[in-house]
Amino acid sequence: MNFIRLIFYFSFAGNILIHWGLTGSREDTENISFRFALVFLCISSVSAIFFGIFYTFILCPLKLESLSPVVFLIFIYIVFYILNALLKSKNKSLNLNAKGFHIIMVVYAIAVTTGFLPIKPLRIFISAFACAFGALAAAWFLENIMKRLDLEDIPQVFKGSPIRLISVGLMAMAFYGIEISFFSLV
Amino acid sequence: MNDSSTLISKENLSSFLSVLPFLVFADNMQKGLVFSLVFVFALSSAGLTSILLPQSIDKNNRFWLSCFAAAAASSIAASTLRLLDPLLYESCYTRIFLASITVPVLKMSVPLKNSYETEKYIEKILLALAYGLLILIFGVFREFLAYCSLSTDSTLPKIMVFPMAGEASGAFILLGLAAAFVKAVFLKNKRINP
Repeated sequence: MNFIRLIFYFSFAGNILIHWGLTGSREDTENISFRFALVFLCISSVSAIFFGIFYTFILCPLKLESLSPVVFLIFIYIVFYILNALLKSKNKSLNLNAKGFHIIMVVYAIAVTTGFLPIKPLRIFISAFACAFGALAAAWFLENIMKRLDLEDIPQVFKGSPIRLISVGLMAMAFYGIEISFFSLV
Repeated sequence: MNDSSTLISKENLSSFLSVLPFLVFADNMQKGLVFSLVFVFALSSAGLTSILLPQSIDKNNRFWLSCFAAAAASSIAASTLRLLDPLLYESCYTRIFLASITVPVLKMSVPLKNSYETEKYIEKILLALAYGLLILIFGVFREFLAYCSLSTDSTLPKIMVFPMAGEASGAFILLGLAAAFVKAVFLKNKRINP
């Protein structure tokens, strides 16, 4: 039952869209394929486990929490080189662009959010998976809202980024309502 | 984003979106000031490392070393904040670390190809500093809107006049309205001076 509550909390109430304000651009969200979603879910969950274990067993006892960004960057660096090596073997290259780094920021947020949970690898894995799922679901909801808004006759000045930000705000308000209602249960 | 006009380039938009977590979390002047300073500190560390590292080092490794310098800068900033104000540190240290992986900081980490790029580099610095200032101004504006007052002591009990301005949802809505205002001004200028 606790796991179900945890999944619900991270997917909807504790959505990183509200807590971190990590909303991607339209290009980022409109091309989310099943394969991308799967890779994203795996990377988030695995990196959260490593970060969580490292944070709880090494950084916290030594009171070195402020080294978290360096540690996380080392993880990212390792993942980057492993991915690059794998892609090179298939004659492809890893193109690091702004979009790629936006994903890294989301992964970081997930790792940090779940890294502070009591150390139980399965618990961290499930929470990180739910958190990544929540981020993808929020992006998908937002994309659908934007597609519907494209059909509406909204004022010129609100078209594009302003209406997108306002829509995110309204979504965040809805999620916040859920958080207030269910926070005591988790 | 579906910006029909070319007011905001895609590059600038990705930079703005990566700074968005700070804007959303900076709900008062103190947090705005902290994030603004950390952002500028991480940015200057990344930029300086990128410039000062010898050319003999591989471009890819120079980029990663600059990223590590930015991460180390945010760590130093977090430790300093911990000494100065432990309460404030507890509330915002996870976000402080985001500074090292924001798009403007990463852009600064990209080494210069040649000396002709110096002008472009200065542009990047100015734009990034503008983001730092924006975080501070937005924090001040939100605190003023929420409490109708400004204070450097976050422990003081205060009455909220407009609670939405202090919430994340309110931050998004305020940013949307600000973006609409900026766009309206640009469009008006465009009509006057086509």
